Amino acid sequence: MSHTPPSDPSWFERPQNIRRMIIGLVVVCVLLVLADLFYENPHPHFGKVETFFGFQAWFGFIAFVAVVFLGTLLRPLIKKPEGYYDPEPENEFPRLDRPEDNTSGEQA
Amino acid sequence: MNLLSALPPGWPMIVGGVFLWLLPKRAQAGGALGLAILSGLLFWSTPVLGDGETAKTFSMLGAELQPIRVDSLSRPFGLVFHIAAIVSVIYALHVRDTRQHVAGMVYAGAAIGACCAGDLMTLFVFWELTAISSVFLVWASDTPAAYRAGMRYLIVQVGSGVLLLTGAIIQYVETGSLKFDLFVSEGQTLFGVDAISPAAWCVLIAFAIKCAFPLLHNWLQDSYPKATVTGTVFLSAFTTKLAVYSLARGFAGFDPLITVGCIMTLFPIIFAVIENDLRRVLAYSLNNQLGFMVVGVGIGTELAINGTVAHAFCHIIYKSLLFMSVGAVLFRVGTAKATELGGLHKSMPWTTAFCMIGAGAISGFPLLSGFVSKSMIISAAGEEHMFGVWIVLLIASAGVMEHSGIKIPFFAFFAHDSGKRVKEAPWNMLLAMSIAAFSCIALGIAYPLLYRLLPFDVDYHPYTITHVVTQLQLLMFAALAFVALMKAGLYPAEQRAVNLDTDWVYRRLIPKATRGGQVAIELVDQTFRHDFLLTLRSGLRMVQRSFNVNGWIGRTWSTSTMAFWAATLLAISLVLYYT
Repeated sequence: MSHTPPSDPSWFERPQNIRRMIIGLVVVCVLLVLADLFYENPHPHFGKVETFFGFQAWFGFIAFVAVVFLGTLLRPLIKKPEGYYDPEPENEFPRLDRPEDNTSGEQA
Repeated sequence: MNLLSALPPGWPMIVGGVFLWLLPKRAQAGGALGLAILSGLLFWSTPVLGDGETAKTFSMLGAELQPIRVDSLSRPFGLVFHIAAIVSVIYALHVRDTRQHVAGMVYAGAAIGACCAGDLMTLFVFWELTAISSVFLVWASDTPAAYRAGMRYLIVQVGSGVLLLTGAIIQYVETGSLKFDLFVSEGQTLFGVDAISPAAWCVLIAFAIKCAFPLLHNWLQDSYPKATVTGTVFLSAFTTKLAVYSLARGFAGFDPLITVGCIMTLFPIIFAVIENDLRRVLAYSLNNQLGFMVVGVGIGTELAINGTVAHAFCHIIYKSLLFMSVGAVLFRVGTAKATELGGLHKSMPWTTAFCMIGAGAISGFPLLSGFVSKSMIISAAGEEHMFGVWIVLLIASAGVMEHSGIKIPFFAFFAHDSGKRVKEAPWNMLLAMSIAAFSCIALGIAYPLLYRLLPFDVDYHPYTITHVVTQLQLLMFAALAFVALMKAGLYPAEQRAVNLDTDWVYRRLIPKATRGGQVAIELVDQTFRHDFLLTLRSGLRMVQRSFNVNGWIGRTWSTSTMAFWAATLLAISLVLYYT
């Protein structure tokens, strides 16, 4: 087995389809925000915040970015080379799980 | 039948599991499946205690024990533990390793026994049994790293059990009862916190360790990714959810748990962003999900406890589905590291589909199981007007979308093509995953079936327009943020690395810090030994010299000398007695 470049791109890997999926996502997002115009939250627990236009939309966006950003900040503090704890490279594959016929997944 | 009904639930798996080795290797997995199903059927037919009814009491050595308490709180846990056991065994049908089958069965049976324990002593016995049996699932990887991780796991788990035993003994001495009930009493507070007895503190810390509270959590991320492919699926289901059940039983409404739970939902998501080993990402994700449940226990209202139980129920299924799909990748490709994976949807389409259902369920997409359970806990925070908690849980939900909803499926099955072309997962793994995936969808759609199992009568409707729209807004905009970050090149690339966590303290810091002390002790010890040996040796040499043929004791003396000394002695005694 070798590291082949995706010479056989699947539906998900064709650039035009990726563009379509992204456009689809943006359209869905816009529709979801606009949906806020058409209903009223009958029992808001935190009136001002919850009923704010598209609150969970922009909140989700910001929270996601913040989590990823904090992760990038954390990385330099805790990153160590792979053999840090265990001097030998961790042989993570449990031998006993592998039946004899399962060899096609062997790394080249 | 009387004898059978006196045995704690889960016994067929414990007793039968121990004798699995008698079967030929090929039949062991099938035998395990039979035991799990048998145990499940027996549990299903066990009568449920109504309100006010108490479990049968047995006296043993003067203590009142209630080994079987199947009530509205323990029953859902027992049921979902059985489902998890059956699914995990199907997933492991190809394994020809006696240790793993025996360990898996005893572990599952012990967890079921523990969640039906009505007293602290029974709970302790099963609590330790889960620890001792499950460690073999880590050790079965047969690598030095897994051996050491298993040792650390065992020390932590047994430590938790010892604390539980301590609490049980203190409570027995103080109150004369071993009953396992709510430790928090209304109205009594100490420094603004509900006052609980010293016994309760011991028990709480024991639960906290097993529930992976912040700073006590790292045994989870340390050991689970090092267990075998199939072992991790077992591990993900039982230990921590047993702890959640125990907290719900003993500490419902204990306010500090809300804060602890909030921290628990937040910090693992940040670690998960930069973790490369996908099974470790799932372990962090598991920790974050436990946070939701701990918040629910801390709020303690009927809605919150219902939410906690429902969430544990759904979580066990979708989390094992995620571990199964990543396990299938590890099984076929030989690694679960994000840097080595990608593009696998072409060769493992079914696994990809199942993984995405699990990812959708954990993220809480409508029509999947996570949506109908997590929203109960978030709503419970809202009902109590806990604004901070509510906001934290929303952030955590976006975080779940990040690490489990997007990162796991994206980096394993899509992203850049790693060029790896492997076989689809074996039939038994696909079957186990399809059962779990089906359950995720079924629980999301037919949620009244789930709600009927919950401890309190539910008047909760997850599918309101507000809920569906706001939840979809949160998730889709989180996905949009992912796309934006990827396009802008700001999403942190996966890197081959080890990320430190609190395990660094006991794997590096303490051994290093105590090295000076060790050296000093060694020096003193060496000097003392050396000097002592020298003294001993010179003493021996003196004895040897004195007793040999020429030594002053050993040599032959003349009779006149003896006669002289006898006369002297007689003279001395005469003088002494005369006076």
